[in-house]
Amino acid sequence: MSSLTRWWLAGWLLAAGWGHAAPSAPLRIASLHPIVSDLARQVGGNAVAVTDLMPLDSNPHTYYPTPANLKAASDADLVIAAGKGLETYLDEFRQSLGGGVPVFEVGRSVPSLRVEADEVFVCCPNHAHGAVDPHWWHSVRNARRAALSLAEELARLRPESAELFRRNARAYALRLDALYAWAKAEIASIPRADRELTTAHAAFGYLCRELGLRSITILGLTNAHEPEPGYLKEVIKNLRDHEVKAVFPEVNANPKVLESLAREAGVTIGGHLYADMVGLDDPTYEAMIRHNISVITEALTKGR
Amino acid sequence: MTIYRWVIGCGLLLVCGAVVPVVAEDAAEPWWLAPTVGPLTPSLHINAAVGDSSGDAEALAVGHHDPTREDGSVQAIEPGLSLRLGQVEAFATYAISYGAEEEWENEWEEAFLKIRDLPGGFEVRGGRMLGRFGYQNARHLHAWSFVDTPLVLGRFLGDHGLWFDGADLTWLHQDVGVTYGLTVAYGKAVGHEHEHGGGEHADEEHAEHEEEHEGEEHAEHDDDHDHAHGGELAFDDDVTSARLFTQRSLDDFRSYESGLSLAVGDEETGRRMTVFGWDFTYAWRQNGLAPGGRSYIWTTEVLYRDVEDGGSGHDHGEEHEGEDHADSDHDHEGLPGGAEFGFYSQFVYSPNPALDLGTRVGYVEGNDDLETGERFQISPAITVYPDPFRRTSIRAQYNYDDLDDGSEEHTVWLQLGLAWGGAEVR
Repeated sequence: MSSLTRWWLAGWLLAAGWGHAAPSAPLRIASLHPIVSDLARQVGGNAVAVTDLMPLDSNPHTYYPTPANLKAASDADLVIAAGKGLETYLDEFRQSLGGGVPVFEVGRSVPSLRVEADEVFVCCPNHAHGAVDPHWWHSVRNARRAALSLAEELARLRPESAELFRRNARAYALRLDALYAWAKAEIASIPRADRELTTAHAAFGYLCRELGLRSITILGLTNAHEPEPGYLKEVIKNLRDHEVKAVFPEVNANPKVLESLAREAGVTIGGHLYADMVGLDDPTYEAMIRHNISVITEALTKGR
Repeated sequence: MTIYRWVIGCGLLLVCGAVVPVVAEDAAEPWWLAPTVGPLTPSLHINAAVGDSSGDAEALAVGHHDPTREDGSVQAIEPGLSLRLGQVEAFATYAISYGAEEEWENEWEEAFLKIRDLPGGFEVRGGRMLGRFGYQNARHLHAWSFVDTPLVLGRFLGDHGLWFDGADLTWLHQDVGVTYGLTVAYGKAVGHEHEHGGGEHADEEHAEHEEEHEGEEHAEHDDDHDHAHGGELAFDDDVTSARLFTQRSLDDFRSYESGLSLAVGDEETGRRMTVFGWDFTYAWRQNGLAPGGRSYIWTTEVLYRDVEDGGSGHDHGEEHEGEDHADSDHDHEGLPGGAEFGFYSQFVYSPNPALDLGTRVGYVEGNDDLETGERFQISPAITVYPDPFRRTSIRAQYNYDDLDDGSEEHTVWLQLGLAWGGAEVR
């Protein structure tokens, strides 16, 4: 090999080495809700590092970020939130970040249910608004849409990993399709007349709408509300009239109201559901949905 | 064409646009604007308009609630009451209006009982109602984005739209972000039966009208067939209708509704009339389901009407009871049928909740056998809502009409609106 050839070869190898960039550092994501944390991990894979700002066993309706959370968020490349008004502090939080870190509301990309008057036929645009139910993740297909939307946001921030994010999101969407089909089949095993989900707080509207359950709730949108005595009487009567088979307390919520109501109405207390959080032993969205559907199905098919 | 009408129209639009107030988007509506008394929700809507036209405003109008009097029309004063008692709901509204006939007219616009959430996803309504046909037909005047009725709806469905005493059955399948529905209705079309405050001459007028035109060439009074109260081709007696539709929210910000509609029945001379409709509405809202922000809504309805040959040649509503006459007094060979199509498309952009900027384009094909003329209309409009809750409105609208005989008409309207009360049962 001539010396000229060696020089050419050395130069080419050097150039090739420079052209092949070292793997970039993972995109740092600070998450305000465990559900969207899991979506980010599923979609981002090894290309993201997700930090949960809210402890997994916290109630998102009462959680408020600490100064340490704010510091962690300001060090991140992206802050993600569930959105739809769940994080009531979000505007303030965003201002505190000073615009240096983008805040992405994952739930923004999915359709909402309104808490009241979710009417098909409306009289006029003035009455087409209303408070939004923020628990969008209880619809598996909403979670699917959210994952795909999150992939686009990650791709925007880290274009060199865009293909990876989209591929991961598509693979995850297929898993969610299978999860949805399984949930439909499970609920279909419940006798039609027993497809009623009685819970303390109104967190399962999306699940009920998607899977064809009738929702009976005792408290409001957040589990901090207190029910009116008159309303409790009405619920008890409703439970008796409809021969409701079970009521479902929630993980990490005071079951007192629900238990006394179940006693009064002579209704079984079913297993605990995850409303605003994921399980600590398997903190994934899929595990949370599988747990909830299994608990509901087991209680409502018991004694068949 | 008169230039000064253009000037008046443009001036009105500009004045309205210039006085748009700045509105606090997060202001909470006070309770007294939409009070409820137990299960009852009262409401009151008032719409009135003044204007100017190069033609005959009454003849140009196609809908019952359209303004017909340049010096001032009360399009409707509509007190209403909604009842919500679990699955059972009801709604009634009485409409009072004052137009070109210079008499107060009043009628029950709607009065129906509804049972919702029946097993299988059904709901049923019975009573007097505006039929679920297309996008606009079942909406009251106060929900419209323009002063008057789109040409094609007034002509194909009658001046009052598809409006009947009867019942409908709706099947709904609702999922997160998507609804599918099918409504089937059967009833007796409500004719022109307003109680005239100034005298009972409604029937007389129609009879006289027919006599006046005996032996005349139909083409000479084509315009009269567009006349709001002519109604020659409106449904009469039994009418059956159906609507298959879907509403889909892509997210909280983008949604659309699309549907196919069908109405079948006899028109007033007894000819079988079938109206097909396709509608599509796309809406975008910057703030999603929360109030405020920018928004736009685009609606298009395309209708096709087929009228079969036949009929008695005279109005079913005038069966000449008690009169001595031979069959030969009438033309019993029947009338020719025909088909025509028409559409309207409207786009309304709201740069903020206090201002709507809209344009509507409408067209009806016309058919010589049906004695209906071709007509094209374009209607820009500006609506200003001076209060933060869109309860009061000032709307300026200009109508350009290109009629079958080649003539053009220019009309401007200034409409005032008041809306009080909560959501009505629909």
